[in-house]
Amino acid sequence: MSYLNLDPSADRLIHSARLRDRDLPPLPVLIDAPRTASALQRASTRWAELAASHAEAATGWWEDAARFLSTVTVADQDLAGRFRP
Amino acid sequence: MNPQLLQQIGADITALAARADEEIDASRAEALSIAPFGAGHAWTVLLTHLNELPASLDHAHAQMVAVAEVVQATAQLAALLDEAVARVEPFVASVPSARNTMAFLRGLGSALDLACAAQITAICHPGTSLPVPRITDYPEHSLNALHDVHHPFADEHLRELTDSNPDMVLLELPDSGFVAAVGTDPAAEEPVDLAEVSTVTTYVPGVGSSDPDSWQGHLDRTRTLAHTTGGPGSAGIVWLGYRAPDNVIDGLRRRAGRDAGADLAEFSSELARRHPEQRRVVLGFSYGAVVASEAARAGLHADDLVLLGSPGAVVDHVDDYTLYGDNPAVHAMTSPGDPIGLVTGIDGGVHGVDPTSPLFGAQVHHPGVRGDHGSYFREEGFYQALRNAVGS
Repeated sequence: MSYLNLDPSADRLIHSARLRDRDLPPLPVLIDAPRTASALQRASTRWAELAASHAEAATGWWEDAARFLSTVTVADQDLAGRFRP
Repeated sequence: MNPQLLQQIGADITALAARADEEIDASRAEALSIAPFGAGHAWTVLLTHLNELPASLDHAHAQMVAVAEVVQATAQLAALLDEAVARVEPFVASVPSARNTMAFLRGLGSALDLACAAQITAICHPGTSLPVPRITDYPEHSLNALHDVHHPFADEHLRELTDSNPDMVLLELPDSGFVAAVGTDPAAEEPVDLAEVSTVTTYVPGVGSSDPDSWQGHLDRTRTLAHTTGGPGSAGIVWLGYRAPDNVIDGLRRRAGRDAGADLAEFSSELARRHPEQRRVVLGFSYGAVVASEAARAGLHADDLVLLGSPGAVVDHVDDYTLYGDNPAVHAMTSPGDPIGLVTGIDGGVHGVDPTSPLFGAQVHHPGVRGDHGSYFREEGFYQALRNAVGS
């Protein structure tokens, strides 16, 4: 089994996943019920935090995927250069 | 509560949940799509992390779906409430009972707001509770309408208490107690109207008063205190807006008194804002006197502050209190046989100096009794002494 299937579409997929916008739209809380408005505001803030945390983690792991791909590709080319007669 | 706005918010949350669901699906699809392009341990670990990415969003998505259901159910109830208000409104000007019904319906609106908020909080922040609703949160409600706001949330014990005390008006419903008004007549069949009385006496009980078995006794005592200080046309308030210490040892802690004092000061300020013409008497007994002292240190709307059987005045001199009232006065009473004097003194104990010490500067009165800490409210001599000190 090859360690890496060097298909250029992998690079495109990773690039696209890294840059994709993952934010959720803000929730407008316009209501005349003060306690419900306050509870919804807290919930909305919590959801925004979870979405931001998801987006940050996604960026990190997709950057790692890009680094993995790049490292293995460079190593493969390096080895190919060394093995060439 | 505006049902249309609630419906719109419910729809907005449903849309948000759908967007979160799309993101979850897209994240999982991305992780799957990249899987065939590598192999080995590092690649496997990386793919595991990419697959687990949407876990936090899964959680948020479940909350959004549940909250949207709550908000939509609340919108339906708010619409029913609006219908009821529209039916009653035409009769408010001409039918006296319609005014009461309208107040009740407005109370239900606030109760619905509170219930909806509590449900959202339980879904999104399990383990936390909403801040206790205070009278300052309902500036548009009459004090008597607050009863209808709180009553649906009262526990069984408190409901029994309101059933057997028809004059009782719930004003606040903290976790471990209650704040309620009563009149001076124990046989009264109607709720006391706080807007109609000239004197309001707020009684702050002390150690052990958060025990529900003691609450009927505090109501009875408050009626008698109110009658003593303001006469038959006045009202009393039992202020149990704090978790009172269970015993004397717990009563040595100062933190609870400080927090409760700030709440009592705010409560009293709201009473004054609503009915500035009323005379206000605040009587703190035992640890309740510490709470009242803390309130006075923060700034208390009271014409007369009575510290009864106090374990300490919190400050060194009466001038360190801030009382807002007409010629406000601080009164101190402690029975010669009350051992509470052992925890304080001229030089001060845990809660500060003895308010009956001459150097403190309060008006010191003999309490009319000579017994122990529990003797005050049992003897007519005390009420006579209180009447002489602050009776109108």
